[in-house]
Amino acid sequence: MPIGQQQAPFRLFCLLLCLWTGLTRATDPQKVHIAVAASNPQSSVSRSELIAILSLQKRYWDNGERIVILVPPITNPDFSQFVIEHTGLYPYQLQRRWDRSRFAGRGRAPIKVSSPEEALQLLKSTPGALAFLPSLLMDTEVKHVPSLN
Amino acid sequence: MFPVSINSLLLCVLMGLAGGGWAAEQPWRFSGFASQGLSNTSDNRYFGKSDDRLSFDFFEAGLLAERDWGEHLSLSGKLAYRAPYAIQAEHLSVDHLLLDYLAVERTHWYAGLRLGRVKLGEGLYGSSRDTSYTWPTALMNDIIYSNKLLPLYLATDGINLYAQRDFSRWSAALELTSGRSQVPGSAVEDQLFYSLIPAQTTHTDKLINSRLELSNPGSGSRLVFTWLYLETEFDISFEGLVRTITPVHIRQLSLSFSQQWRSWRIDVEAVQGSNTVFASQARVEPLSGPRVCAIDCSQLTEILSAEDRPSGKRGGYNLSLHYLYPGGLDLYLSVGEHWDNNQDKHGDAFEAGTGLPGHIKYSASYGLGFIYPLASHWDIAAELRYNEGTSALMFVDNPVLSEHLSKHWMQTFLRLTYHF
Repeated sequence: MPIGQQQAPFRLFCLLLCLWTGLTRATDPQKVHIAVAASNPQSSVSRSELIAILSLQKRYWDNGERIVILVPPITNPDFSQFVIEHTGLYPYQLQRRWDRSRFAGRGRAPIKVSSPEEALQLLKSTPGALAFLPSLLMDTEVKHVPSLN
Repeated sequence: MFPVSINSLLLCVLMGLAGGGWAAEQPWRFSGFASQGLSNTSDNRYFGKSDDRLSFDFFEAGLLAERDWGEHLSLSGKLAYRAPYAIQAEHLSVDHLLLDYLAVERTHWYAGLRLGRVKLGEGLYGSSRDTSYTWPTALMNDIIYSNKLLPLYLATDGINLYAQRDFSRWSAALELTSGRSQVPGSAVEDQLFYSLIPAQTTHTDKLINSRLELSNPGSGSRLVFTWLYLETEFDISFEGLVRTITPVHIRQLSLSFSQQWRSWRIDVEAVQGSNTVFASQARVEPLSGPRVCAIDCSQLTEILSAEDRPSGKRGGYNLSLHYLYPGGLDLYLSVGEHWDNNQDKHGDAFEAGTGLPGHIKYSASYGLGFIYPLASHWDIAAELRYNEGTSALMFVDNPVLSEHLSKHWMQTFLRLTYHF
């Protein structure tokens, strides 16, 4: 049997595996995304922008609105995974930066939210807010913003 | 750190605001922590009587209160109880209490001012130097962030102007601070003339601090320049000498760099400084005999020579290399050196001229440690540190004239922190 034919089932298996994992990732209801108010003109957030925002260095959106960060507990595994994937930082590093800033009297730390539902409510009612919401939690008043690496 | 009367007043203001009518309109945010340390030094003393097998002297607790009024005005205050620092006259202190007014805000830059007891910027971590659980290492390095001068370099009663500008990849943050601080008597004793001058607490007449930070968040780089200048006066009243007030000017420049690459982070900091004693205004009689040599002669010579010139420049550096694990473990190695005189780094000339050991004029340290979050509100940190030289030690804990200091000594430190 030709080598190409021998490998065909293996290739098919790999293709299906990739499709399956891709679909799973794309539709994983717990996967976290950046979310802002639907009225916010921001269409994407770059990696360096996201790091600057989470490091409390970038304070304003391009439309001049102040950025209000809403974060779940840093021990939240989905949030942790998102932060590591999209910033290369570990969530506890961010927590220490926020603590240093607060204890020096030099800035407002992100607002902690206890649940995605609370984050959604605050996102809708707070101008300039940025939250980290799972895919399943969508609302017409908010939109997901892709994080570009 | 500051007189209890001022602390009490500031505390009353803080608590009064917390319990006042404003609180009903918009809640305050409170955070706090408590740290208990367990320390041992093989010979000398550090954090109190740490040469007594195991010492529990290190204890620190803090309460932070914050409040916003709209988007432009906010208040932040921190009350602390700090046990291990013999240099502080009072255990209780208000580390900072400031009103922050954001005066100008644009899309890519903003500027404002802070009034009250504002923090001084020093290096990468100086502004939260007084909060042990935010230290980057289990033991703070003594090279850049000297424990001996903690109250002096921590905060000042005055004004802090700040501005930040974002560029496409970089951002620049500038701070200028000016004010008046209290210089604890033990710091005077430690830094200048040891036990020959009477115990005294004095004030800085002029204090200016500037800090420029350039950062590139995308690449994980930070570069910080800090400059500090302060003027103060001491009452030099030697026995048998003319009592007089002598001005002293202190300058300090530091350069710090931090770079993170994947799980690695390196922090490099260097400092250079000088103390100028205006001897011509002292007009003291010359001292002679062994007593002259029983003190810091390099500085006393400045007085006796009746010339206005700076003492030898002091300097130092610290380097720490961190490996960060996803679970929160921060493992690090650190090395640092500090010397009181650039021209006499190991104190050889000092030893030859005074008969005192040269190792009291420099410090070198090599540490290995970790910080680990045990749970969401609990941190544990530990460090094993080998030291050579004793210039970083506090004089109040280790009086040179009454206690022999060991040149080589080890420290073991364990710190458990609860924070919320």
